[in-house]
Amino acid sequence: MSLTVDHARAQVTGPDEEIRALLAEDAPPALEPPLLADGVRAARSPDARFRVTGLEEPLEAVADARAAALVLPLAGGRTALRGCTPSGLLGVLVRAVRLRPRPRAGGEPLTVPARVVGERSGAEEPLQAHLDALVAHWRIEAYGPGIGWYVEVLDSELGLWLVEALPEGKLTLTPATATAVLDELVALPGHVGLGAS
Amino acid sequence: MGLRFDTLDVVEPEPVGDFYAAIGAGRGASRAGFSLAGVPAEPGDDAYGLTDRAMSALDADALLIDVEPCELAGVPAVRTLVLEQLGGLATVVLEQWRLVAAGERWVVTATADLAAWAQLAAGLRAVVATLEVEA
Repeated sequence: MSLTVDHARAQVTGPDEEIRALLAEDAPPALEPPLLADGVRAARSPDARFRVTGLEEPLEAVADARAAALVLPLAGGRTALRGCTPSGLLGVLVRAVRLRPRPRAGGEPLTVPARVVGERSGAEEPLQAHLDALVAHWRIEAYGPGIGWYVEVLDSELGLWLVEALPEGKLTLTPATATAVLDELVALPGHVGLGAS
Repeated sequence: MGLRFDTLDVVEPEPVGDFYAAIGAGRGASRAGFSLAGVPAEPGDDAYGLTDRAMSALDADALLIDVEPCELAGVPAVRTLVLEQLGGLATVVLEQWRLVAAGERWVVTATADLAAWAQLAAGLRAVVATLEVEA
Protein backbone atom coordinates (compact mmCIF):
# COMPACT_ATOMS: atom_id res chain seq x y z
CA MET A 1 0.00 0.00 0.00
CA SER A 2 1.29 3.44 -0.83
CA LEU A 3 -1.18 5.46 1.15
CA THR A 4 0.18 8.50 2.92
CA VAL A 5 -1.45 10.09 5.94
CA ASP A 6 -1.35 13.79 6.75
CA HIS A 7 -2.12 13.84 10.48
CA ALA A 8 -2.63 17.58 10.69
CA ARG A 9 -5.29 17.50 7.97
CA ALA A 10 -6.74 14.12 9.00
CA GLN A 11 -6.22 13.14 5.38
CA VAL A 12 -5.16 9.99 3.58
CA THR A 13 -3.88 10.19 0.01
CA GLY A 14 -3.08 7.49 -2.52
CA PRO A 15 -3.85 5.98 -5.91
CA ASP A 16 -7.58 5.86 -6.67
CA GLU A 17 -7.66 2.06 -6.52
CA GLU A 18 -5.99 1.95 -3.10
CA ILE A 19 -8.43 4.48 -1.70
CA ARG A 20 -11.27 2.38 -3.11
CA ALA A 21 -9.72 -0.71 -1.51
CA LEU A 22 -9.46 1.10 1.83
CA LEU A 23 -13.15 1.95 1.62
CA ALA A 24 -14.08 -1.62 0.69
CA GLU A 25 -12.40 -3.17 3.76
CA ASP A 26 -14.52 -4.55 6.56
CA ALA A 27 -11.96 -4.24 9.34
CA PRO A 28 -12.08 -1.09 11.45
CA PRO A 29 -9.76 1.48 9.88
CA ALA A 30 -6.38 1.43 11.65
CA LEU A 31 -5.74 5.09 10.99
CA GLU A 32 -4.69 8.03 13.08
CA PRO A 33 -5.87 10.60 13.98
CA PRO A 34 -9.26 9.31 15.17
CA LEU A 35 -11.02 11.93 13.03
CA LEU A 36 -9.57 10.31 9.92
CA ALA A 37 -10.72 6.86 11.07
CA ASP A 38 -14.19 8.32 11.70
CA GLY A 39 -14.17 9.89 8.24
CA VAL A 40 -13.24 6.57 6.61
CA ARG A 41 -16.05 4.87 8.55
CA ALA A 42 -18.46 7.52 7.27
CA ALA A 43 -17.22 7.02 3.71
CA ARG A 44 -17.70 3.24 3.95
CA SER A 45 -21.29 3.53 5.09
CA PRO A 46 -22.53 7.08 4.48
CA ASP A 47 -25.92 8.32 5.62
CA ALA A 48 -25.72 11.30 3.27
CA ARG A 49 -23.79 12.48 0.24
CA PHE A 50 -23.01 16.03 -0.79
CA ARG A 51 -21.96 17.40 -4.16
CA VAL A 52 -21.03 20.97 -4.98
CA THR A 53 -21.13 22.13 -8.60
CA GLY A 54 -20.46 25.46 -10.22
CA LEU A 55 -16.95 25.67 -8.80
CA GLU A 56 -13.75 25.25 -10.81
CA GLU A 57 -13.68 21.64 -9.59
CA PRO A 58 -16.70 19.71 -8.26
CA LEU A 59 -16.47 18.92 -4.57
CA GLU A 60 -17.89 15.75 -3.07
CA ALA A 61 -18.35 14.63 0.50
CA VAL A 62 -20.03 11.86 2.44
CA ALA A 63 -21.21 11.88 6.03
CA ASP A 64 -22.78 9.95 8.83
CA ALA A 65 -24.07 11.32 12.11
CA ARG A 66 -20.58 11.45 13.68
CA ALA A 67 -18.20 12.48 10.96
CA ALA A 68 -17.74 13.32 7.32
CA ALA A 69 -15.17 12.80 4.62
CA LEU A 70 -14.26 15.06 1.74
CA VAL A 71 -13.38 13.21 -1.43
CA LEU A 72 -10.76 15.19 -3.32
CA PRO A 73 -9.70 13.99 -6.77
CA LEU A 74 -6.03 14.76 -7.42
CA ALA A 75 -3.90 14.75 -10.54
CA GLY A 76 -2.30 11.51 -11.72
CA GLY A 77 -5.10 9.14 -10.73
CA ARG A 78 -4.81 9.87 -7.03
CA THR A 79 -7.48 10.68 -4.47
CA ALA A 80 -7.38 12.30 -1.06
CA LEU A 81 -9.91 11.48 1.64
CA ARG A 82 -10.08 14.05 4.43
CA GLY A 83 -11.92 13.35 7.66
CA CYS A 84 -13.85 16.18 9.25
CA THR A 85 -16.46 16.84 11.87
CA PRO A 86 -20.05 17.59 10.78
CA SER A 87 -19.50 21.30 11.42
CA GLY A 88 -16.09 21.12 9.78
CA LEU A 89 -17.73 19.79 6.61
CA LEU A 90 -20.28 22.63 6.60
CA GLY A 91 -17.43 25.11 7.12
CA VAL A 92 -15.59 23.65 4.13
CA LEU A 93 -18.73 23.97 2.00
CA VAL A 94 -19.20 27.62 3.02
CA ARG A 95 -15.58 28.40 2.18
CA ALA A 96 -15.76 26.50 -1.10
CA VAL A 97 -18.66 28.60 -2.37
CA ARG A 98 -17.01 31.76 -1.01
CA LEU A 99 -20.06 32.98 0.84
CA ARG A 100 -19.38 36.54 1.98
CA PRO A 101 -21.12 39.86 2.63
CA ARG A 102 -23.05 41.09 -0.39
CA PRO A 103 -25.38 44.05 -0.91
CA ARG A 104 -29.05 43.31 -0.25
CA ALA A 105 -30.65 42.63 -3.63
CA GLY A 106 -34.10 43.25 -2.18
CA GLY A 107 -37.40 43.02 -3.98
CA GLU A 108 -39.82 40.21 -4.64
CA PRO A 109 -39.04 36.74 -6.05
CA LEU A 110 -38.96 36.58 -9.85
CA THR A 111 -39.97 33.74 -12.14
CA VAL A 112 -37.89 33.54 -15.31
CA PRO A 113 -37.13 31.01 -18.04
CA ALA A 114 -34.09 28.92 -17.09
CA ARG A 115 -32.35 29.99 -20.31
CA VAL A 116 -32.21 33.58 -19.00
CA VAL A 117 -29.91 32.40 -16.21
CA GLY A 118 -28.07 29.91 -18.41
CA GLU A 119 -27.32 32.52 -21.07
CA ARG A 120 -27.11 35.40 -18.60
CA SER A 121 -29.11 37.54 -21.01
CA GLY A 122 -32.65 38.55 -21.83
CA ALA A 123 -33.71 39.47 -18.31
CA GLU A 124 -35.48 42.67 -17.36
CA GLU A 125 -33.78 45.11 -15.03
CA PRO A 126 -32.74 44.95 -12.27
CA LEU A 127 -32.10 41.22 -12.76
CA GLN A 128 -30.04 41.75 -15.92
CA ALA A 129 -27.67 44.05 -13.99
CA HIS A 130 -27.19 41.26 -11.46
CA LEU A 131 -26.54 38.70 -14.20
CA ASP A 132 -24.00 41.07 -15.76
CA ALA A 133 -22.23 41.25 -12.39
CA LEU A 134 -22.41 37.51 -11.73
CA VAL A 135 -19.42 36.07 -9.87
CA ALA A 136 -20.62 32.50 -9.39
CA HIS A 137 -23.58 30.20 -9.88
CA TRP A 138 -23.18 27.31 -7.49
CA ARG A 139 -25.32 24.48 -6.23
CA ILE A 140 -24.94 22.12 -3.29
CA GLU A 141 -26.89 18.88 -3.56
CA ALA A 142 -27.49 16.61 -0.59
CA TYR A 143 -28.82 13.07 -0.80
CA GLY A 144 -30.05 10.89 2.04
CA PRO A 145 -32.04 7.65 2.10
CA GLY A 146 -34.73 8.23 -0.51
CA ILE A 147 -34.52 11.99 -0.39
CA GLY A 148 -32.58 14.79 -2.02
CA TRP A 149 -32.38 18.50 -1.39
CA TYR A 150 -30.37 21.36 -2.81
CA VAL A 151 -29.34 24.95 -2.30
CA GLU A 152 -28.58 26.85 -5.49
CA VAL A 153 -27.34 30.43 -5.54
CA LEU A 154 -26.59 33.16 -8.04
CA ASP A 155 -23.78 35.17 -6.48
CA SER A 156 -23.50 38.63 -8.01
CA GLU A 157 -21.49 41.66 -6.93
CA LEU A 158 -24.93 43.27 -6.52
CA GLY A 159 -26.46 40.59 -4.33
CA LEU A 160 -27.38 36.96 -3.78
CA TRP A 161 -30.34 35.08 -5.25
CA LEU A 162 -31.64 31.67 -4.20
CA VAL A 163 -32.59 29.60 -7.25
CA GLU A 164 -35.43 27.10 -7.27
CA ALA A 165 -36.37 25.01 -10.29
CA LEU A 166 -40.00 25.04 -11.42
CA PRO A 167 -41.74 22.85 -13.98
CA GLU A 168 -41.64 23.78 -17.66
CA GLY A 169 -38.11 25.10 -17.69
CA LYS A 170 -38.64 28.00 -15.33
CA LEU A 171 -36.81 29.18 -12.24
CA THR A 172 -37.81 31.20 -9.22
CA LEU A 173 -35.10 33.64 -8.15
CA THR A 174 -35.46 34.91 -4.60
CA PRO A 175 -33.28 37.77 -3.34
CA ALA A 176 -31.41 36.58 -0.25
CA THR A 177 -28.91 37.81 2.30
CA ALA A 178 -25.71 35.92 3.03
CA THR A 179 -27.23 35.05 6.40
CA ALA A 180 -30.27 33.50 4.72
CA VAL A 181 -28.04 31.52 2.37
CA LEU A 182 -25.98 30.25 5.30
CA ASP A 183 -29.16 29.25 7.12
CA GLU A 184 -30.32 27.28 4.06
CA LEU A 185 -26.91 25.64 3.64
CA VAL A 186 -26.58 24.47 7.23
CA ALA A 187 -30.13 23.05 7.12
CA LEU A 188 -29.18 20.71 4.24
CA PRO A 189 -28.04 17.76 6.42
CA GLY A 190 -31.29 17.86 8.36
CA HIS A 191 -33.36 17.91 5.18
CA VAL A 192 -31.83 14.58 4.12
CA GLY A 193 -32.16 12.90 7.49
CA LEU A 194 -28.79 13.69 9.03
CA GLY A 195 -29.80 15.25 12.34
CA ALA A 196 -32.83 17.48 12.66
CA SER A 197 -33.73 20.02 9.96
CA MET B 1 -28.72 51.05 33.84
CA GLY B 2 -27.93 48.32 31.34
CA LEU B 3 -29.58 45.83 29.07
CA ARG B 4 -31.95 43.08 30.02
CA PHE B 5 -33.38 40.22 28.06
CA ASP B 6 -35.96 37.46 28.26
CA THR B 7 -34.57 33.92 28.09
CA LEU B 8 -37.83 32.75 26.44
CA ASP B 9 -37.01 29.41 28.07
CA VAL B 10 -34.57 28.94 25.21
CA VAL B 11 -31.38 29.60 27.15
CA GLU B 12 -30.52 28.94 30.78
CA PRO B 13 -27.59 30.10 32.92
CA GLU B 14 -26.29 26.57 32.68
CA PRO B 15 -27.07 24.19 29.82
CA VAL B 16 -29.90 22.20 31.36
CA GLY B 17 -33.46 21.38 30.37
CA ASP B 18 -34.85 21.69 26.88
CA PHE B 19 -31.97 23.77 25.58
CA TYR B 20 -29.44 21.15 26.64
CA ALA B 21 -31.56 18.47 25.04
CA ALA B 22 -31.63 20.47 21.80
CA ILE B 23 -27.87 20.78 21.80
CA GLY B 24 -27.47 17.09 22.47
CA ALA B 25 -25.08 15.85 25.12
CA GLY B 26 -21.55 15.78 23.82
CA ARG B 27 -22.46 17.06 20.38
CA GLY B 28 -20.48 19.88 18.83
CA ALA B 29 -17.19 21.55 19.42
CA SER B 30 -18.39 24.34 21.64
CA ARG B 31 -21.19 25.16 24.04
CA ALA B 32 -24.09 26.85 22.29
CA GLY B 33 -25.53 29.90 23.95
CA PHE B 34 -26.11 33.59 24.26
CA SER B 35 -23.94 36.17 25.98
CA LEU B 36 -24.09 39.86 26.69
CA ALA B 37 -20.92 41.82 27.43
CA GLY B 38 -20.75 45.51 28.28
CA VAL B 39 -17.94 47.95 29.06
CA PRO B 40 -18.13 51.72 29.62
CA ALA B 41 -18.45 53.60 26.33
CA GLU B 42 -15.93 56.19 25.16
CA PRO B 43 -16.99 59.52 23.68
CA GLY B 44 -17.82 59.08 20.01
CA ASP B 45 -18.44 55.34 20.24
CA ASP B 46 -21.13 54.00 17.96
CA ALA B 47 -22.18 50.64 16.60
CA TYR B 48 -20.41 51.16 13.28
CA GLY B 49 -17.08 52.04 14.85
CA LEU B 50 -17.25 49.12 17.28
CA THR B 51 -17.99 46.76 14.41
CA ASP B 52 -15.25 48.13 12.16
CA ARG B 53 -12.69 47.67 14.93
CA ALA B 54 -13.85 44.15 15.71
CA MET B 55 -13.96 43.03 12.07
CA SER B 56 -10.51 44.46 11.34
CA ALA B 57 -9.14 42.27 14.15
CA LEU B 58 -10.53 38.96 12.86
CA ASP B 59 -7.93 36.20 12.78
CA ALA B 60 -7.06 34.01 9.79
CA ASP B 61 -9.41 31.26 10.98
CA ALA B 62 -12.41 33.58 10.94
CA LEU B 63 -14.65 34.08 7.94
CA LEU B 64 -17.00 37.07 7.76
CA ILE B 65 -20.28 36.00 6.17
CA ASP B 66 -22.58 39.00 6.62
CA VAL B 67 -22.77 42.53 8.01
CA GLU B 68 -26.04 44.38 8.48
CA PRO B 69 -27.01 47.68 10.12
CA CYS B 70 -30.11 47.13 12.21
CA GLU B 71 -31.80 48.26 15.41
CA LEU B 72 -31.67 46.43 18.71
CA ALA B 73 -33.07 47.49 22.08
CA GLY B 74 -34.37 50.60 20.34
CA VAL B 75 -30.93 51.87 19.31
CA PRO B 76 -28.81 51.56 16.15
CA ALA B 77 -26.81 48.35 16.03
CA VAL B 78 -24.76 46.36 13.57
CA ARG B 79 -25.19 42.61 13.20
CA THR B 80 -22.32 40.45 11.99
CA LEU B 81 -22.17 36.76 11.18
CA VAL B 82 -18.75 35.11 11.45
CA LEU B 83 -17.63 31.50 11.17
CA GLU B 84 -14.64 30.53 13.27
CA GLN B 85 -12.66 27.41 12.45
CA LEU B 86 -11.46 25.70 15.62
CA GLY B 87 -8.16 23.92 15.28
CA GLY B 88 -8.87 23.21 11.63
CA LEU B 89 -11.48 20.65 12.63
CA ALA B 90 -14.77 22.12 13.74
CA THR B 91 -16.57 25.32 12.78
CA VAL B 92 -18.43 27.57 15.17
CA VAL B 93 -20.91 30.36 14.36
CA LEU B 94 -20.71 33.74 16.05
CA GLU B 95 -23.70 35.96 15.30
CA GLN B 96 -23.08 39.26 17.07
CA TRP B 97 -24.78 42.60 17.53
CA ARG B 98 -22.79 45.67 18.59
CA LEU B 99 -24.43 48.75 19.98
CA VAL B 100 -23.97 51.61 22.39
CA ALA B 101 -26.71 51.95 25.01
CA ALA B 102 -27.04 53.15 28.59
CA GLY B 103 -23.50 54.57 28.51
CA GLU B 104 -21.91 51.27 27.59
CA ARG B 105 -20.59 49.43 24.55
CA TRP B 106 -22.43 46.16 24.18
CA VAL B 107 -21.57 43.01 22.33
CA VAL B 108 -24.41 40.53 22.12
CA THR B 109 -23.36 37.08 20.94
CA ALA B 110 -25.33 34.04 19.85
CA THR B 111 -23.09 31.06 19.21
CA ALA B 112 -23.23 27.36 18.38
CA ASP B 113 -21.39 24.63 16.56
CA LEU B 114 -22.22 25.15 12.87
CA ALA B 115 -23.76 21.66 12.65
CA ALA B 116 -26.27 22.65 15.34
CA TRP B 117 -27.02 26.12 13.97
CA ALA B 118 -30.06 25.05 11.93
CA GLN B 119 -31.69 23.80 15.14
CA LEU B 120 -30.69 26.64 17.42
CA ALA B 121 -30.44 29.87 15.42
CA ALA B 122 -34.12 30.81 15.50
CA GLY B 123 -34.36 30.40 19.27
CA LEU B 124 -31.17 32.30 19.95
CA ARG B 125 -32.22 35.15 17.64
CA ALA B 126 -35.58 35.30 19.39
CA VAL B 127 -33.81 35.79 22.73
CA VAL B 128 -31.65 38.54 21.23
CA ALA B 129 -34.79 40.29 19.96
CA THR B 130 -36.07 40.64 23.55
CA LEU B 131 -33.18 42.93 24.58
CA GLU B 132 -34.28 46.19 26.17
CA VAL B 133 -32.40 49.11 27.64
CA GLU B 134 -32.94 49.04 31.40
CA ALA B 135 -33.23 52.40 33.12
